[in-house]
Amino acid sequence: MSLFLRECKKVLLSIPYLIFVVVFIGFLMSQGLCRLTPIEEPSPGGSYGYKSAEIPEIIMPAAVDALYQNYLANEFTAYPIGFYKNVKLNAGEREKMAEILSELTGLPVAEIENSAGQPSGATVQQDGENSIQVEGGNITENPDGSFTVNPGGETANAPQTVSPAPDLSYDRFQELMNEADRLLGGGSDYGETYRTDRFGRVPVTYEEALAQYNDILSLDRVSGSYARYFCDYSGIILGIIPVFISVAMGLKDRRSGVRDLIYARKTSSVKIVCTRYLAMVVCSFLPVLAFSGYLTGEIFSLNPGLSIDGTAVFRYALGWLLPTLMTSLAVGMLFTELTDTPVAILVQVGWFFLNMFGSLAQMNGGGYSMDLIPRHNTIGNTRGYYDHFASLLCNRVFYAVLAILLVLVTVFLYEQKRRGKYHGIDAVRKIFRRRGQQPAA
Amino acid sequence: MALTRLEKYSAVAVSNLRHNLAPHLLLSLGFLLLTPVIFGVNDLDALAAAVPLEYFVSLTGPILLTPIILPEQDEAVRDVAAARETGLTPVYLLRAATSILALLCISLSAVLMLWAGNCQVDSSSVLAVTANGVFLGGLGAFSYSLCRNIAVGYMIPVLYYVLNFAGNPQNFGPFYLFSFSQGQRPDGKWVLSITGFVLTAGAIVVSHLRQKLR
Repeated sequence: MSLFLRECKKVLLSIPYLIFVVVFIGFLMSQGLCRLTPIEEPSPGGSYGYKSAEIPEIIMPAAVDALYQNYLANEFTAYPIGFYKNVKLNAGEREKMAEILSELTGLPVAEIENSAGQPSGATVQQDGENSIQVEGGNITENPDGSFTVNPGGETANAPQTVSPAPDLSYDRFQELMNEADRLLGGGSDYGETYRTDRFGRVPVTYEEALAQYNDILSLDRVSGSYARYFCDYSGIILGIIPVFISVAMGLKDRRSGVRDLIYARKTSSVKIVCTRYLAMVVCSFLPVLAFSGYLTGEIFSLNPGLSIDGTAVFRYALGWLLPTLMTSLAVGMLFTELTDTPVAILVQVGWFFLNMFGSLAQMNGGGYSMDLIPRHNTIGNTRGYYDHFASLLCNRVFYAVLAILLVLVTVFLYEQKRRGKYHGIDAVRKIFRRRGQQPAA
Repeated sequence: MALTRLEKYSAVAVSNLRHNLAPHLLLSLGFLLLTPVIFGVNDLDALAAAVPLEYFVSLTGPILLTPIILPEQDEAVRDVAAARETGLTPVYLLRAATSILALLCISLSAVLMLWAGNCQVDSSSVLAVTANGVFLGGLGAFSYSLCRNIAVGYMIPVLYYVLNFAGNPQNFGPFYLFSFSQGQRPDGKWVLSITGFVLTAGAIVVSHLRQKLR
């Protein structure tokens, strides 16, 4: 039997692989990939959901007032890696924020600085017993202990809401908001990432819904939109679970005591490592292909009469999911060969963690950036996909190339071990072993 | 001179701490030190303070508990250890106790760190993170004891974590990991804790039975 088929058999019969298949299929079904709804033409007069739109007339007033309210309470919310973070500004930072708000609103800096924490009324308490409460006035204490109330005229009360300054341009507004976001440590509602989504929500009109429907029919040929949704959920599993397969396969030789036997064989390190990697990639991709076939059939049955691309799901699986799978497996191989421990699991879990929580702002697709697991958690947003296709393509090519590079480094490490020049974790243990101390059993 | 029982198990505990638990403890400390870097730990209300604890610090549970029977993964080592007068089961129990104690210390340190940052935390926060850690760690230890495959040992708790993260909370009932940060009462954490202890005990029982049946 060829080496490739032997390795495939090892992978297919391993417990991590069996768990992977069950979890992959089970997860997709639990997320509704077997209960999809057909693509339907929108009817006039209905509700078509909401979208984010960069409309200055909507974003500017909402964002400026929200920033002001947060400033008054000195409580800001940020999501630097997708997790809630409460930010309180110190005195110096509040001064800078007041300057930003002053330019945003056109109000004097002093008025904004004085507004924070000042009650709308004023209470005077004498001797801890009697008190005088004045509403809407300005109370000042005189040197002789008496108080002067200025009921009319200019008051020091804070405005309840603020609006953008009339002469504030949208470009300058964006600069100031980005500055505020930097002051808050990044990830706030006022930065580029969240600002439009947070303050620019507008209802989707019938015409826009109809245009999206037509995009799905013409550009996606129906199955493309479902395929992206499938890739979104599949990527979550493929970004983490395959690492366990490669760790298990990598530790198997050492555990079963045949490592030295394999080292002595005349088969090259390139052939051994690459064959193992290829076997893991092919076997791990089989359930993806199987579900792609099932999904294609479901799409055809849900949307009779529509012109459907029968290969779209498979093409998306190859181009979108394969690089994630390749990278996940390659990380597992490299770190297992490097350390002879399952530390690759920790590395991949950490990467997965940061990816998942950092991509919360791009759940609906379009903002693919350099995430290992690109997200597109909607059936639709065809324009968003095509507008950012170039960045997605760069992303996928990058990870495919990275995976191959990691495998080549693994080949190098494997060869060094065969030559006795590198001993994995044993080399690290030697550094910490004291002279004269017996090694642990 | 024969060792007393206390001396014997003290030596086992020290040896375990030095040779087996040390790298895992260092990794767990790394998690603790990373918490303020990744999350904000200042002026958080009760719900926000529960997030770094439940989502991140509790991952030290599988790191500390899963490998309690890992040193005997090699059959030859297992046979030699099993032939000794001191059975393997008390050794496993000692390792489990040490790991759970370490987990408790990590959890307490994390809560104290949040408390020092003026966050709204209390004893229920310690319960929340320890319960998650013990449960995930127990899952890992039990899985490893069944399969004797360390990848599977870590795979099951990580999988459970991912499914909790991506799935519907109602599907998990009292076994939902992130209930505290969703505003639910911490009472359900007792169920997680007890189940975690049972799974850890189960891992030791399975290892004992495997040894007896060989």
